[in-house]
Amino acid sequence: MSMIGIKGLDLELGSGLRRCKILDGIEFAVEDGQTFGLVGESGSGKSTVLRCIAGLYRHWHGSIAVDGGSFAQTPRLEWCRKVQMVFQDPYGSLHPKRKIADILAEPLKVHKFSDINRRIGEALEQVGLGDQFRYRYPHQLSGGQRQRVAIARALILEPKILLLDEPTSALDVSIQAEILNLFVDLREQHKLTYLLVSHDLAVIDHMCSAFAVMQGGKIVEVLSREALENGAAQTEYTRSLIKASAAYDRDLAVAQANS
Amino acid sequence: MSEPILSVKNLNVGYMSARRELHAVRNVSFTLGREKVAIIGESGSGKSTVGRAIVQLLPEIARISADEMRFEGQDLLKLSEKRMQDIRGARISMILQDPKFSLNPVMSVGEQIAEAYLAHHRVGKAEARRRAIEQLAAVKIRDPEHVYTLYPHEVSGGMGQRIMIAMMLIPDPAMIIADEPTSALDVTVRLQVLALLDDLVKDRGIGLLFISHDLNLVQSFCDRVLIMYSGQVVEEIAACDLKDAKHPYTRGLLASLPRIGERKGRLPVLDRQSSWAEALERH
Repeated sequence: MSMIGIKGLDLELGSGLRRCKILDGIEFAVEDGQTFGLVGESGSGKSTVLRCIAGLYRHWHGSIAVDGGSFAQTPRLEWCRKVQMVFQDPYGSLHPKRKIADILAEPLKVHKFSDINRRIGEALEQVGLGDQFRYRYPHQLSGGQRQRVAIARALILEPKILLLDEPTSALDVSIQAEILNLFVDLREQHKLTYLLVSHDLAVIDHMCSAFAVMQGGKIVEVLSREALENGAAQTEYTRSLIKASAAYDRDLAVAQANS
Repeated sequence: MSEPILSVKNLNVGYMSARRELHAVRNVSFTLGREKVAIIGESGSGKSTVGRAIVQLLPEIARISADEMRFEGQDLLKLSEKRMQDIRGARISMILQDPKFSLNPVMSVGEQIAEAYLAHHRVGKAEARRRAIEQLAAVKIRDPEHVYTLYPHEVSGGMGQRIMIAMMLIPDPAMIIADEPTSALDVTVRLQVLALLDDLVKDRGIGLLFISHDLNLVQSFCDRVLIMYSGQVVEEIAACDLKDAKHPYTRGLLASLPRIGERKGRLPVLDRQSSWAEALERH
């Protein structure tokens, strides 16, 4: 049984003439403990897939199941306990007027957990922040520290799946390395399954055993890490994406501009 | 090499506040010819401050001083604000990171480009419009007459960045400061914008100061790289030799990048030494 199973996922947004198909027949499965990547250009729908799984969009068609239970049949709170999300921008995803302890306490209160104080301490420790961070505000933290708080908030409900939407693209490379290492450690400790959206193929290669390439709301192809490393991409689109992300290449730019 | 377009010697920028002085840029020296020079560093290293100090677009509490900041034969620090106005935009222009926040949302993009032309030239509106459309075509926008009438929210990120570049180019500058011009763009769009900047350096002989945190990109795109740490240039190196960098900070940054085909399990994390931040010798 896969941890995440998605079949025939369609989503339309807008109304009337401006109605637009955002996702078209998305299908993939992620096994327990695996990390699966989603790559593509902006507007390809990769973040929208995560938002559908997280329940932030609810008018999609198709089926989404996690841990054996389908979205339709699982109570909302139970779903949210299993699936948590970390957003791209650590500056925008934390409430600016709440202390870190209050930010971390909120999901615990919603889900009626006991022992809130102890859990906050543990969550901070897991992401490598000291207990003194409890009483700080987000603006007193650096970008990397804020992203750690966002990860702690996601982990505090002891989920099975983390949805990671470009979790390091707003960070410096040195801080990115620290956060990626943290993800690797947490994956081992808590047997987590990750769904990682990134535009950086090197990050995808580092974290994921397989990934899907998306374009215009469809999955163009699913590649294994080995296929990426051996240059065994099947479609022209994926090949140009891989080449464009590797380095600046003038000839490729000219070729793309003319096509 | 011919006479450099810009030469900076021992540039210092300090922020004075009631409580303490923050020395944001310390003794930065470099020259820029008709080439692509990158400034690399983490956030807070002072790389953007260097760019802004050159065009003197820093808040008033900033103290800028330098032994020399020579641009086309004049010392920028000795110029009056009025003379600086003539240079800013006309001879040195700046491309900023995110076109979404840098364009005026209630003015069509074409009018904004025409405005940049009118600010530096005494011509009629029709002439400015013609030049703006010409410039849009020069940055490889198809159907420039239609794009002229669009508003910033109607264009994509890549097109927005090209519009910014068109606006920067219309007064025909000798030097461009590009502050993270491609970080908000997709890889394929990024490639197009870079090719455009590349052409400008090659065809028009513009000097490009490219401020970035993307080591991979700089390695393949630029000619020379300055690496900044806590306000100082700790290393200067040819871009093609970046992988043989000597300074432990540069090496640490390079090592912390994941690479395709190099499974590391854990990435090496930068082990910051307090000695890196110590003052270097002045040249």
